[in-house]
Amino acid sequence: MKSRNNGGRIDLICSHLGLINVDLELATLLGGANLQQAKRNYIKVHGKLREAIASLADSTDYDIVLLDCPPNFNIVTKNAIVASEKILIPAKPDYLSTLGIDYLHRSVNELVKEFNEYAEVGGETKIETISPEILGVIFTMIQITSGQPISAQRQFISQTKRLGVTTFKAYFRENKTIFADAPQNLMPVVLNYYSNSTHSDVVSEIKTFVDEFESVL
Amino acid sequence: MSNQKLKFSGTLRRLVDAVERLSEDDLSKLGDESYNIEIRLTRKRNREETISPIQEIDLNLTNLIEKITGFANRDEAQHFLNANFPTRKSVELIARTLDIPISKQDKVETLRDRVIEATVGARIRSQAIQGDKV
Repeated sequence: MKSRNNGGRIDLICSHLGLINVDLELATLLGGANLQQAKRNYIKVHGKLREAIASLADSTDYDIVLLDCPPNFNIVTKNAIVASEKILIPAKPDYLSTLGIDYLHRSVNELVKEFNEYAEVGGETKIETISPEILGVIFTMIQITSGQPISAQRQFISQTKRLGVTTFKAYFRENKTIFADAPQNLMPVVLNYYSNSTHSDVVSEIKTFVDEFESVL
Repeated sequence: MSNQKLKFSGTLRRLVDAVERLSEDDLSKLGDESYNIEIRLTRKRNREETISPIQEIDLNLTNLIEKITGFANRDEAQHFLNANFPTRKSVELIARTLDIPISKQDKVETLRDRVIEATVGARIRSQAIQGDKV
């Protein structure tokens, strides 16, 4: 969002640990007396976030809305996908995570199919269908040795590329000290200061990713 | 200095270099009676030896990996590798191109299995998970 005084502005809505059961609460709103009602409730429950963002669209001027999702595929995550135009997949380059990328592809396809099918029977109001595009995979928690990811991770980076999944050239490295301090100190990693070269490497890697991310939007 | 002395001083310098490359932990073990010291000599490979063969067959390797990935199942890939790549060295070259970590203890069978899992295995698994026809 552009601001008069400087280059831009970020508004942040934090999650809350007290929302741990929000999925169960949303799930109670699903179902219905008949199939048509159940489908309408499905659209209503899964489209809540999309509806909320749409209601802000006229009164605000955001360039980008980023939705950080938990690593699962429950109703909250589905809400985020329904509300999104594009999906960025952060993943560790290891065996189980690469399986997770495939499962995510499948789950997104199933969600899109189901949502669009149910949207057809939306009743009097026309429900917009969804078609989120998978932007690609950004590899995270990379362990760097001699200026490159360790071979145990390179193997899965290469494998993911070979399978035709779009991957970002940039990556985020693993660093317990730098990343663990950020949430506790309420200070973004890029604004923090450590007098070592690793921190400047981390910051420059984040910048590289942001440039790459903006170029594919 | 005679030739023999020069050679000996050069040898000592190389030994000192090797000791300097040891970690703190290994250095402390040098003086520990409960450890034996063995000297292992390995032949250094020059640049031409290590780099040129890989570059020459780079394109062939890419085609080869595509071919292995395209096999209908793991068994077909296994037969193909058994028949065409019987030595550890030949399989190692494919494994390196696939960025598979290799250790000296790995046997040729282990490397072949890893190559298969990273190629045709990964493709079949991915398609199965995504619900595509395998």
